[in-house]
Amino acid sequence: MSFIILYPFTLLVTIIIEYLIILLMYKGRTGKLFLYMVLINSFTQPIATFVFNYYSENFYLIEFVITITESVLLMILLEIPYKSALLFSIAANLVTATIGWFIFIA
Amino acid sequence: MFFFIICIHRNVLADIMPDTRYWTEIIWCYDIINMDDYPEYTFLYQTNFGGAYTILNQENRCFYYYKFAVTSIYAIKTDTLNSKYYLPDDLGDLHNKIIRSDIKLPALGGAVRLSNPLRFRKIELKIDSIDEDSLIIFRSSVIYYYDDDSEEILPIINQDSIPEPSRSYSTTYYRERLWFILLPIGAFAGILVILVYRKRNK
Repeated sequence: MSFIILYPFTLLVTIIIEYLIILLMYKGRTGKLFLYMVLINSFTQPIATFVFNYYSENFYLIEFVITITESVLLMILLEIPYKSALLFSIAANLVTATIGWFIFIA
Repeated sequence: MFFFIICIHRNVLADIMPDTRYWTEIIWCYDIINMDDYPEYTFLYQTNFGGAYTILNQENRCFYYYKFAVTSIYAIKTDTLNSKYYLPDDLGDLHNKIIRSDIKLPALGGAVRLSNPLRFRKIELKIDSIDEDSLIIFRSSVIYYYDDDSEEILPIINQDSIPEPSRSYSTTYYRERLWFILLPIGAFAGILVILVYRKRNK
């Protein structure tokens, strides 16, 4: 699959999955949450893909940094305590990272 | 961030061999394009490392050699050879019958970044004249083959310089940069706009 299709497709899937996972735990406005997930993932996923493709294949370290970054952004954007934001981020990234690992690495 | 960079940096970058994740080797060869116009001659090459002469024929007409070598082209009357494909180990008297050219052909090897679409480089040589004493060959053109199966033929005007390929980056490279650079910057700008907007309305 060419990157023109692959990258936007994986980004879209990641946004949808992470949105649905966090939606299960978040009690606020769902429309805003979706916008935030689009912005957060559009920021983190291309950088993570670039680092993985061109700089390092340390999948776990990249996912760790992404999880921390997203938790900080979730805390700021959703205006929630950091513990909750970290929990949201860990849950969402655990699912998407597992799917990504099986599709692209395993 | 510094710790992150330190952790993920790969030591293989220090290796002499190009890292194949980032670099690809360029395949190359020289080709005498009008060799068939001189059926009475057999053409040979030998590198400056010495060793055997190698016969050029239809199966072996696009020739390449060790990356640090320089090659000379020779010709010999075909009827003086027992075989069109093999030379005797000891040339003996044949050595005196070899017609030498002045052309020196350096190896063209090298590697390019994967973002560079160049994959194969061929320099076409043309025999200008040949007689009992001299063989005159010149570089006629260079052909660059790219990863999208396109090719670029450039005539060689000056024998001392080979025209460079016009393409150094693939379109995929630019598209990837748009994805990897502009998208995160745009998203981050969007986040900042939301935060600024929120702060102003408080």
